Amino acid sequence: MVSWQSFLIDFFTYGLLTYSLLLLSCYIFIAAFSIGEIRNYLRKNSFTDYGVLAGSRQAPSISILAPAYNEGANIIENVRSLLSINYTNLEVIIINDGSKDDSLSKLIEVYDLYKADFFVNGQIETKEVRGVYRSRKIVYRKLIVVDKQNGGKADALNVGINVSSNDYIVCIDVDCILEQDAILKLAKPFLENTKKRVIATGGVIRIANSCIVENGRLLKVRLPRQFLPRVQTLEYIRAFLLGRMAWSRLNGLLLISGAFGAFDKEIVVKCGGYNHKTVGEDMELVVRMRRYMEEKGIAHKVSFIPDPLCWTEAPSTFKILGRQRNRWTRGTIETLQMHKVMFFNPKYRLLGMISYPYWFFFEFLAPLVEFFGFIAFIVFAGFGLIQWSFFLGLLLFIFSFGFLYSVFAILMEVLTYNQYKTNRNLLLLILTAFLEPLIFHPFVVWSAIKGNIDLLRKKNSWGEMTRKGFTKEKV
Amino acid sequence: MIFFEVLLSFFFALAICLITFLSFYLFVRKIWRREYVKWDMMIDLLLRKAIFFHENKTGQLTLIPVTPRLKDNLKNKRFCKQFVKKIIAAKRNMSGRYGENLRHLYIQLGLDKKALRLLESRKWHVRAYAIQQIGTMGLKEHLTRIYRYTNNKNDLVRIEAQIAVLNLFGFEGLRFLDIISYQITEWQQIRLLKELSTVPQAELTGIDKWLNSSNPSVVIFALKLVRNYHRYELYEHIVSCLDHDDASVRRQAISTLTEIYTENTSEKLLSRFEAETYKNQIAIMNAIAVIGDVQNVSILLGYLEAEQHEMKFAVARALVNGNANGLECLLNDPRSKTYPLNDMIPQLKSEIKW
Repeated sequence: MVSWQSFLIDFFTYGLLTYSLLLLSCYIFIAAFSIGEIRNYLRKNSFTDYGVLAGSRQAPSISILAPAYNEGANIIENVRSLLSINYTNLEVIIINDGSKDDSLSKLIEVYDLYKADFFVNGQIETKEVRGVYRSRKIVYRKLIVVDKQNGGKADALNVGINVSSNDYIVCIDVDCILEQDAILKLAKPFLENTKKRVIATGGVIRIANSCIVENGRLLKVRLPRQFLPRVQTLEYIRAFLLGRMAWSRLNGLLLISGAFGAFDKEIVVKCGGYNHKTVGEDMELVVRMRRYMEEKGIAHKVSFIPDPLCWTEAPSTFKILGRQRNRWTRGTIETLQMHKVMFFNPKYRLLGMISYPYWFFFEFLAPLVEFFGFIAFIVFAGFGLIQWSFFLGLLLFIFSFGFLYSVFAILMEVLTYNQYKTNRNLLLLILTAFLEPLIFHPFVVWSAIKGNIDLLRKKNSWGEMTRKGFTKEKV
Repeated sequence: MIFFEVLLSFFFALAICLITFLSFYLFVRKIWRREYVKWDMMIDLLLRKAIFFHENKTGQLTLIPVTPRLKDNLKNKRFCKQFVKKIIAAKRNMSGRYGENLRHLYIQLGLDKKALRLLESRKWHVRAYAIQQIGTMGLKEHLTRIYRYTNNKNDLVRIEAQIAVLNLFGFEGLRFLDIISYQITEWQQIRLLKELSTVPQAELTGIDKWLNSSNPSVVIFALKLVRNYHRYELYEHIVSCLDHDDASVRRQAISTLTEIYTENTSEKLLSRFEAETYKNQIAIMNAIAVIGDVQNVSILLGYLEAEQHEMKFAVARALVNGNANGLECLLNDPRSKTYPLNDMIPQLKSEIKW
C-alpha cells in the first residue's frame, strides 16, 4: 500500500520534474527555432541598403515619442541625439511629463522654443496638456516639445500619440542611445508585408554600461565591468537574440520593449493607446493590439529586428534591479489578467493557444514554482522524505542546462553581431554564465515573488529608477 | 538519479563542446582576418590598376594584367567571394570608361561564368547574389536568364532580378510589370524608384498600361511613377483610378493628384468624398488643402459636422487653404466659436502665416 504522504511527495516531485522538463523543452525549441530566423534575417539584410529609405519621399512618416520626467541633467544631449537621426519623414516629440526640475526651461532656451498654437486631437484621453512648443530655428523644425501635467509614462505616450501627425510612432526612453540607422531598420518591416499588416516592430536593446558615449552617441562598445550589468547583458542576449526571434518567427510575439518599439498609429489609436492602469504598459499595448486584430479577423504581424538598435543603462545595484524586476512581474500579471479571455481560447489562434499560455505557465508561474518548489524540496529533504542526493541532482541538472543555454546564446552572439570582440570579454561572459544561476537568478526570482506580493497588496508604483549615466570618453 | 546524471553530464559536455567550438572559431577567424587584410591590399591594387587601365592604340583587345598569384588565389572560395564583393562595390561607384574596365576585368577573370553557375543554385540567397552581380556588372547578354526571375516566388530573388533588369535596360526594364503576378511591396517600390532616379526619363513609356493592371501594387507603382515624373498627359487615367476597387489604389491616386491637378481636380475629389473610406476621406481633404481651387465652400462647411476631430480638422484645413475666402467663411460660421473648432482655428491661422 502506498501511503498518502509518499503519494503526495511523488506527485509533487514528478509534477515539478515534468514542469521543469516542459520548460527546458520550450527553451530548446526556442533556441533551435531562432537560428533559422536569425540566419534568414542576416542573409536578407546583406542585400539591404538602408540609405535608400533615409532620403526617400516614399518612406513612411514617423513620429518619435520620448517621454521625459526630471531628465534635466541630460535632456539637451538626448534631444540632440534624437534630432541627428538620419530620416526624412520624421518628427521628434518630447513629452515633458510634469517634470519638477528645469527640463522644460533648458529645452526652451537651447532650442529657442515658443508656445505654438497647436490643436491637440484628444482621441485618447489624457491628463491636461499645458502647451506645445516649437522651435523658431528652421534647423530644429522636426522638434515638438509638449508640456503636460504629470500622469506617468503611459499617459505621456498617449499625449505624444495625440500630438503626432505621422502614420507610425516610435516610442523610446529619452535616455536611450539609438544606432544611426535604428529608425530605418525599424521602419522597413512596415513596408515589406503584403499579406499581413505589420502592426508593430521591436528591436534589440543592449546594455550600455561601461560603453563610451559622447554627445548622445555610442563611440565604443564595451562589456560592462560590474557583475550586475554584465549578467544583464547576457540575459538580454538570451532574451532578444534567441527568445524574441523565435517568437517573431512563430508570429507569436506579445512583448515589444518599452525602451524602443515602433507601432502603426492607426491601430494604436483604435485600441485606445497605452493603458495607464498597468505598470507593464508596453506589453499590454502589444497584447491589446493583437487581440484587436484577431477579433477583427485582420491578418497581422508583430515583427522583430535582431540588430542591436538601442543601448540603455541597466541597473547596477540590487536595489534598483529589484524594483525593475518587481515592476516587470506586476506588469506581466496585470496584462495577463486584463486579457485572460485569450487563455487557451482557439478564437485567438496561436496567441490564445500558445503565446498566452507560454507567458502564463513559463513567465508568470516559473518564479513561483521555482521558489515554492525549492522550499518544499528543502523541507522534504530535511524531514528525510526525499533523498538529498535527488534534490542536489535535480538542482545540478537545472544548473547545467542554464549554463548550456547561456553558452549557446554567447555562441550565437559571436556568430552574428559579435559586439564584445576580445577573448577576454568572451571568457568573462562565460564565467558570468556560470555564476548567473548562483547569484543573479535567485535574486530575480525573489524580486518576482515580491512583485506578486506587491500586486496582491495593490501596490502600483513604478519604483524610482536612478541612473548613473554613461561613461564619457577621456580626453 | 541515473536519468539526472546522464542529462547533467550531457549538458555539461555539450556546453564544453560549444565553448571549444567558440574558441576554435575565434582562433580561425583571427587567422582569416589577417588573410583578409593581405587580400584586400592585393585586390585594391588590381582594381586601381583596372580602373585606370588604357587599351593600346592598335585597337586590339588587351587584357588587364593580373598576377599569377591573384589568379591562383581566385581558386580559393573566400578570396573569390571577397574579390567579387569588392569589384561589385567599386563598379557601383564607377561609370563610363572606368566602370567598363571593371566589367572587362570581371569577365576576364571568368567571374561571369561563376555567377551564371550560381544562378542555378537551390539556395535563394545564392541566386539573388548572382543576379545582383550580373545586374551591377551590366552583363546585358544574360537578360533572358535574369528576366524569368522577376516573377520568382522568393521575394528577394524577385526584387534583385527586377533591380538587375533596371540596371541593364533602364525604363525599358520595367516591362516586367506587364507580367508580374506577385504584389510589389512598398519597400520594393522605393528601391525601384531609387534605381530609376538615375535613368534619363525620356524613355519612360507604358505607364498607361500599368495603370490598368489587374495587380493593384502595379497600379500603385505606376501612380507613383506619374507623381514622381509629373506625367500630366496621364491625368485622365489617374482620375479613373479614383474609381478603382482597391482603397489603397484610390488613396495613391488622390496623392498623385496633389502633384498633377487641373482647375477642377478638387471638385472631382469632393464628388467622391462620401463614398470613400475614412482614411481616403482624410486623404481627400489633405489633397484639397494642397490643390485649393474649391468653388463650392458650402460642401466643405457641411463636412465640418464630422464627429471625429481628426476629420473636422482636415476639413477645416481644406476649407482655409482651398478657397481664398475659406478662413472668413469658417470664422463666420457659428461653430467656429465652440470647441473644437475654436481650438483648431489659431493653428490654421498660424499655418497660413508660415
